[in-house]
Amino acid sequence: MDPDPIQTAVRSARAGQPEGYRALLEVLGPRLMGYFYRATGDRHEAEDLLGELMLRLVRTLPKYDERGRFEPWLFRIAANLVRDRLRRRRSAGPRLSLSVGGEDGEPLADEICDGGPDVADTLVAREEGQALRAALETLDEPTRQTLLLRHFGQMSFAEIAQTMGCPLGTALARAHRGLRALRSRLAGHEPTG
Amino acid sequence: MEPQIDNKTLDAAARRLDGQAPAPDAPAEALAREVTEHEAWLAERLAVTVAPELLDRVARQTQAALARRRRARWVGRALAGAGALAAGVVLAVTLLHSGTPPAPAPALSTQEAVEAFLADPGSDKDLEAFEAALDELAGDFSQPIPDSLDFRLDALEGDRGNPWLTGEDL
Repeated sequence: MDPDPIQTAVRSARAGQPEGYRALLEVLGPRLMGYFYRATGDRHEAEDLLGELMLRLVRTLPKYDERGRFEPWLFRIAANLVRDRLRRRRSAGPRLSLSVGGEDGEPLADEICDGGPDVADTLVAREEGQALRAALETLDEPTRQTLLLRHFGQMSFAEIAQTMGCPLGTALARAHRGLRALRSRLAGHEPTG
Repeated sequence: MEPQIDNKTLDAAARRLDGQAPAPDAPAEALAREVTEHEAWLAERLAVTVAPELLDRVARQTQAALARRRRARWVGRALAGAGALAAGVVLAVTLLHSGTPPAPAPALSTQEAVEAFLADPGSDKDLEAFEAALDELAGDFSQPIPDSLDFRLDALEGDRGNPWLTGEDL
């Protein structure tokens, strides 16, 4: 039986092998990038946060206790980075929302995302992406984090409760409330095709 | 109107979803089913595809950080073993081997970082300060130099706007 690729990568990385970090990025990088992107709504910030997380791993991985599951440990660090980033963003003053249109009325985040062969499909995808971002932004931070950690971190509710310092039932209540709210707000924006 | 769900039901449903409660009561079972269904619905919409080039770039940054850390440890061990006089020699040799121009005399903060690290070479905090001190002395020669892939990516970025995230956000 193949060994768990994450555990193999973690052991290699803990031994200081660059291949271990590379393997971790290959296995978990897309999920981490997705988490950072959905949490900040900004791909540049997401990429920056992924780089910051990997640098932090270089410092902290030797302290990781292999008895625990690696992913919740990793996503806890990721969640802390997001929290700090959002806090800094808030203290830096008001910022244009990603779901708010630019001067020409186009959503700001999508202005840099143009270029599909089928214009109609691109426009529909844009509208759906914008609607999801807008809907996510309406959620309070703990609720949004709960949904994102659950999806991208593949964390159990017990792990989310521990990460967020709340009772188990509260973690599920947030997920339930958030999911219902998103579903209600995105009604009419169902993906096509 | 949000449905009122008591804590017992929430706890039981959470345990059920975590795979720890095989047979909760009917309300908890119904709640767990509803959450599962909503999560599957959301999963289709949250998916983001990441271009491998982005991961390559982050991997190179990580490798550079690892190299810096390894260098700091190596120099630190050499300094610790050789004593104060040899420390200057080892630093000089390191700088010469790095191919960077000689740095000015270390500032007081650099000396402090080196001394702190020598006092406790196992300390992570001191290792980080020591790393920074070495960077200050040697310049950040371990920074990755943009290779042809980076230039290609920049060109792609100019053409496509967003090469990193594909899928529904493109």
